[in-house]
Amino acid sequence: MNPPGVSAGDFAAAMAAFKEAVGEAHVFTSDEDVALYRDAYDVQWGLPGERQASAGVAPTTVEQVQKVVAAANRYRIPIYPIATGMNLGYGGSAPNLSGSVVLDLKLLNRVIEVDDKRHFAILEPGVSYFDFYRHVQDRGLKVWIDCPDPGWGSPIGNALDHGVGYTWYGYRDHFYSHCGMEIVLPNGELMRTGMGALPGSKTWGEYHYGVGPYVDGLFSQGNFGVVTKMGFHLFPQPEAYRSGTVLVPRRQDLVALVDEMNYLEHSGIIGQPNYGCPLRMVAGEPAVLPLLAKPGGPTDAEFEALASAHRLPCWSCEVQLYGPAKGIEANWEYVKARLAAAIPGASFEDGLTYEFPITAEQRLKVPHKPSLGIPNLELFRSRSALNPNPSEGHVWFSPVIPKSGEAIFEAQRVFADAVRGVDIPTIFGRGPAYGPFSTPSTWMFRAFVLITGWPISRSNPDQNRRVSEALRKLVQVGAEHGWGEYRTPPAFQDDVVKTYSYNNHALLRFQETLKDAVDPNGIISAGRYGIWPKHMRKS
Amino acid sequence: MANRRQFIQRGIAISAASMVPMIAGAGLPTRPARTDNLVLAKIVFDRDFADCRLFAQQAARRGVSVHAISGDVTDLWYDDLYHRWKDPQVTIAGLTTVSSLFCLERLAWKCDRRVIFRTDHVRRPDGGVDHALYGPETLLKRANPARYGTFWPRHMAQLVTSCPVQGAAAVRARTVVASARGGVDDWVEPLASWIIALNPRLRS
Repeated sequence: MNPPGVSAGDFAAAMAAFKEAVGEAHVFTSDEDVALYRDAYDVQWGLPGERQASAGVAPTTVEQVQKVVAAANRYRIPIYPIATGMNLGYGGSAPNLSGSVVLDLKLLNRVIEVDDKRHFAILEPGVSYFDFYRHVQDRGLKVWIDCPDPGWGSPIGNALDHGVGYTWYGYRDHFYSHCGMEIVLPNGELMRTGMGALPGSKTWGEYHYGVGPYVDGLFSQGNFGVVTKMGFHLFPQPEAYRSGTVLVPRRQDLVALVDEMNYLEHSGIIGQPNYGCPLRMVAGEPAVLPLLAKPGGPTDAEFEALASAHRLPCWSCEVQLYGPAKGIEANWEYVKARLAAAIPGASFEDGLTYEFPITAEQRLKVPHKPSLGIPNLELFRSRSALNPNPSEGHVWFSPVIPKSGEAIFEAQRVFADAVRGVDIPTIFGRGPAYGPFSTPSTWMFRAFVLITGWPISRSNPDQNRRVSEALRKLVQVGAEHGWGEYRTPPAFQDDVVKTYSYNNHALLRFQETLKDAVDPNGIISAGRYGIWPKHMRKS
Repeated sequence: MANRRQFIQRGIAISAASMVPMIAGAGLPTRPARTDNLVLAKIVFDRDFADCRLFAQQAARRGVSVHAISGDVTDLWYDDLYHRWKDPQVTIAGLTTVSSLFCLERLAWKCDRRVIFRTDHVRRPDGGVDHALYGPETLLKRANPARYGTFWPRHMAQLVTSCPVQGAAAVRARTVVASARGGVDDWVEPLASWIIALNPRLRS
């Protein structure tokens, strides 16, 4: 498969130039090798619409990246940079534009610097969270990484896609915690941002802005260059960790629970709060299904009667605290006192405690390792009580909603009504995708994400089609209520970007103007997040 | 105090020992892997499933080191394969869930390795198992899990421990349908037998 609009002769010449730049061993053209760049979770898997690469090229140095980009420009070859290609559920390693050559940065994998006194790191894109963790552990450095779950991707790749993690608030938002970039521009020129633009800078990984307009955001979810280095702020290894759970008895208690947690989190008293609805465990029971199918959802009385029948509280919230052992014990006591005063009937359960460093044996037993900055792949462990029949893949629907109990109730109702009658099981295995038991994800510390995962099948294209229809409907319904997605697979990026339409799509038009100026041949990541090169743009 | 890895390793040793009489009773020939075959550094199996344990027993009898997992490959990767795969000659094989293989395939990719042989084993509603094979023609010619009924895991172990070095790059796919009713029905998610080796393109 040649890139669209590229002659066989130009493609062959480009491949020769790539081989000259990186060596023959690092240019991949065989069907078996190129197939590895397929998105294993593509909703179009096996269909003509599946996004597929034409080849892959894996440079080992920044200079090689520059040569590859220059050659791509010379022959008008669309290229699609990936870090480690693990962005599953949001597109994996497959390009938006079929026929693109994947610029695979996995071999650009040096940890340039980690400072555990000033708490920052500078990395290359091929460094994985496992690599980064190993580097820190092997040297006994007193910093934590913050990793997603699963943790096999790249800190740079994840940050550039606005990915998230699980520890202290500033570190969970990986783009927020980045500090400075090195970028190969579409013309092959090398640029550094922030303090990195100052030759000999001593604070590249510490102060974000440098001077003048701050441009780093253009390179996240964007197609304005190839990021070859990034700085990150790091969480100093805390002395201790404690978790505890708050349980509240009534449905409307969720409003006060969220308000209190917001205060505690935004004040820096707690880390990530994890909301739950204990009733979710009974969502698949036949007696519960009529309640879930009821338009508008159950009344408070019905909801509380169900909770009472199962002797369950209506909501839970796990609290995580990091810091000095005495300090976090005092903070946990404060959390309990504050919640007890705000919500009559609230009860509390002590959770886990750790003092750091933990032993290898303790590490293996940590139930949710990313909360302690430990990368792992346990999520892929097939069957569980909540996931009895694992799907072959999934795509995420990730609407950002306000951080309030009222917003959760509204989004539960609106999204549940939107998908009522859609006969597709959730990847979590119990009940419908949205309903009165849905609780938000809390990776971002100033907004919620009411995320759902939708199953992908390699052998059932009809199910994939219905998933696509459901997601497109959810995108529209969400936008009508002021909820936009923070991230989405390539198949839905044009749909989502269109909803960010304020003032006749002024934002997208501005981005397109920049694209035309910076990348006039449109070689980098054509179509990524709705930004198409001029010659491929629909009117 | 033993850590989890050491505990698992002890568990494997005990399991392997207890399996010997059953295998001996089957009267299968025991022989080490031939030197013109790919040399396996280890066999990976999922200890949660009887078919995987049967596979490991047979591999152990053929002199290959076995390594148990329980779905999750994190420790196998972090403590073992990360180091082993610095050596381009290191090849591994296994019978695991397809999820575990998916993880290993993605991790191997970064280390210039590829799945050069795989057979997906999918349970049919009638209790039988379908086997879909992909790999070197030389190996596929000898593959016939249907013939072995419920003992197909032993056949797969024999296959993966005797993969010729020559021809490992020549791949084709075919499907064998087995009518292996019976056996231990303790898995729903498909299993896969596999070999992960240096990308054949780099072998020369």
